[in-house]
Amino acid sequence: MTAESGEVLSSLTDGVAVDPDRLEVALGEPGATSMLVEFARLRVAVESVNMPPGEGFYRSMDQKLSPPPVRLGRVRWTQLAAAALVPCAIAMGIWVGRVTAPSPQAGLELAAYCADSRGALYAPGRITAVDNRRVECVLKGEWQPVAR
Amino acid sequence: MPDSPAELFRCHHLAVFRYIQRMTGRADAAEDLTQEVFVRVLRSWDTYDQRGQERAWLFRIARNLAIDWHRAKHREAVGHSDPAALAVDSTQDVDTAVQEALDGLPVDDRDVFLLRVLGGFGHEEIADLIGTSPAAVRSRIFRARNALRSRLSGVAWGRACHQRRVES
Repeated sequence: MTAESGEVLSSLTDGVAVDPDRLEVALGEPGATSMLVEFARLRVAVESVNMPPGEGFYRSMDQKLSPPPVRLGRVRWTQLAAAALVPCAIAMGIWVGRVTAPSPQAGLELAAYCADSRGALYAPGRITAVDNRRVECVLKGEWQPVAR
Repeated sequence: MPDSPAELFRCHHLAVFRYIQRMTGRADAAEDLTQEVFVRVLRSWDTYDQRGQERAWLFRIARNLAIDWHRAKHREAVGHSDPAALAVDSTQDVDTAVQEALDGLPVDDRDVFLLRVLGGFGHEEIADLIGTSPAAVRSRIFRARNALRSRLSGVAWGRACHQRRVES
């Protein structure tokens, strides 16, 4: 068997396209059939590695390939800070709402008795003064904030 | 195309492991080096820009590590020893016999042969991977096959194949 013919048979074993004329020559050489068969046996034998990686290998790879763990300490502080900000924001909103609410105007007329947040009554009639207590009153037929 | 190192690992780790196992002849070295392959992949994943070529990338890393391992172990000398001295006993386990025959090959020939058989790469891909011509690859693969064939001539293939079928 020449080296050239051996290469042709080896390439044939690899599934590579070979020149048909060279293949014919190679197959005509003594020992060609046994060489092909032994190449095929060899391939099967090399592929059959029986021992897979151990459990330790997979455990270690799981640790290496899994995404980095979330830093809980940092998340907790962030969450706590955000949670603390919520009531502050609400309180701030209420305060801003009160500050910017329309002030009652002296001279407007109340249509009915009204009570403010402390329970003080406002009698129907013309508003003559402004205080700091919030009150919703019927002012010309519609409920509106008229005093703080 | 794998979209994460973990998926790449799932798809290819066994092929890489087997290649390294046959290259080194040792399961413990194969585990260590396979881990190192994927650690390197993980390190370079974000900057790797040849998507679709991941398998070749893996085997390039695996090959370099296996060759470095051989250099470190000074096993090159075994590859150039007398083939007759490495002929296997007919009573030997086939897997052991195959591994010993592989160990007796020059590292370059073994590498090319295993890239073909276990890596599944074509001759041109291997040529590209190791920086040589497809003709040189064909020649090396044949040389490896022929040497293995003569070293394993004493193996009782039929009995071994039968045993493997029964075990499986």
